[in-house]
Amino acid sequence: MIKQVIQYCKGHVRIRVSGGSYDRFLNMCAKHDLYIWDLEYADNAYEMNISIKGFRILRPLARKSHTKVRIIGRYGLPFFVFRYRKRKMLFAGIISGAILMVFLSGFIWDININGNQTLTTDVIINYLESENIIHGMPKASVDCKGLAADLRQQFNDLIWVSVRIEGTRLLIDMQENTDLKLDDKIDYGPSDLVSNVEGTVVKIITRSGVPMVKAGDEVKKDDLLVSGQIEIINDSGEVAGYQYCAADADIYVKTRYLYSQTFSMNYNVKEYSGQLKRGYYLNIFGKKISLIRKKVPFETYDVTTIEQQAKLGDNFYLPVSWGSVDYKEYELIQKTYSKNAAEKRSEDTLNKFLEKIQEKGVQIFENNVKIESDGKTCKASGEVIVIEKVGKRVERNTENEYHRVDSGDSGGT
Amino acid sequence: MSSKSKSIYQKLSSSAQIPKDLSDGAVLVSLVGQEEVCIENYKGIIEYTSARIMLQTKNCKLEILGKHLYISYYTCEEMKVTGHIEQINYL
Repeated sequence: MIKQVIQYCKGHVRIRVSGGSYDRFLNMCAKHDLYIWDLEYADNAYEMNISIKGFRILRPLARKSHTKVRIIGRYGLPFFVFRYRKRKMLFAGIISGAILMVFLSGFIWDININGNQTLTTDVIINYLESENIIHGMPKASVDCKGLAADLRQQFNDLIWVSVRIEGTRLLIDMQENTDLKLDDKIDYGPSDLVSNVEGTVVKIITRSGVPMVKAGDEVKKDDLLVSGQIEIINDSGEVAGYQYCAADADIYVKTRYLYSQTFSMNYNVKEYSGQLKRGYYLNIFGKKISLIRKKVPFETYDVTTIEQQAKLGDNFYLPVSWGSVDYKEYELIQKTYSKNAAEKRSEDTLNKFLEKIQEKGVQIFENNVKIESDGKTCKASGEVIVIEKVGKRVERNTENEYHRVDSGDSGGT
Repeated sequence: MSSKSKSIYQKLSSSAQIPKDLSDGAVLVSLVGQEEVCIENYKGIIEYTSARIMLQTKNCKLEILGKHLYISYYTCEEMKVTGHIEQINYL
């Protein structure tokens, strides 16, 4: 490849040698160290390629060997330049193109992010933008090492980041910590657990703290369930002081929830007529230009827009987008549910709701929802009794109590 | 005398393990399949047509017979011939 480019730059001619003693001619060429290639015998003559420099010293050789030399082809850059020597703008264009290319290659035109799994590329690009790393910035102002360090600091999950510039591309390779994090127990300060629902305690397992309720107790909202204050009792059975801990327990409470859902027996259905109008538009720097402006001849219609944004590389979005708008005609038709269909729909909704709360770990104990329907509406109402894990952590302010206990102690002694 | 001195020269060069192409000016012919032959250490071209190439070497003449013979490049040291090669004769 490089050899061909050099050959093109130097230029060569194809000559035709005829008459006389060609063998002498060839041997003399070899003696004078002329490089000859693609030598071919054709019609009692010899055709060969020779460099321009070699051709210049060919004349005496041809005379000595009584051969006739004729040029049959000129190839290469020197001939090209000569042929187009009067077209000044062509050369100006070539030179300015080359200068522009060199100039533009001093900027970042593509930011490529590799190896991110949970972090989305958008998040990283946004962060880079906030750090003034954007498409079209000069290459020289990118501090690769600093950027890698910043990324590691910004995103804790990254265990390895490499930033490098390749040509006009900024390549960011990263490795995320994919090992599952051990569920770190958050260290709570002294705190109690209070109820956040109303109901009956079904089961209570206390890991730390003093349980204030037992299975079968009724609890109200904000009732203390587990206390983080542990009494210290001295030998005589008196409270000598308190120790504080973060209350921790699994408390299951049976609670009731009201469920109610009503919908009309009448409903509207879109019936598409199959009529469709399509328009196109161009969006340049936030300005929308409709390419085909048509008045929409429908009364009621759906609008679907598909937009595509121009981009360079993977992540460099240009402020130019285009798209099509479809107007689809429809007619609203009123329909009425039959009794069965309405009840079925109501039941489906209820089941979906129950499934959803079960996914959260709530156990359904009883389901007393009744579905009724008259001519106009379908109504589902009733209560659902569930067993759920409850408990809301409330910080305990121990400062005052410590003092109180301390003073009580000192008073006693 | 000359044949004796030659043999001494040959003995000397062979015992010194000097390659034959250097000591005797022997022609080097390397063939690649039937389509390509590379020749070094020759004196000049005697004849060239698309069916026959005759080369002068120091000790003998080398004749290459074939079809569509084509000289890819040609310098005073080395030449490469491509085409359909049928025979190579030392004359």
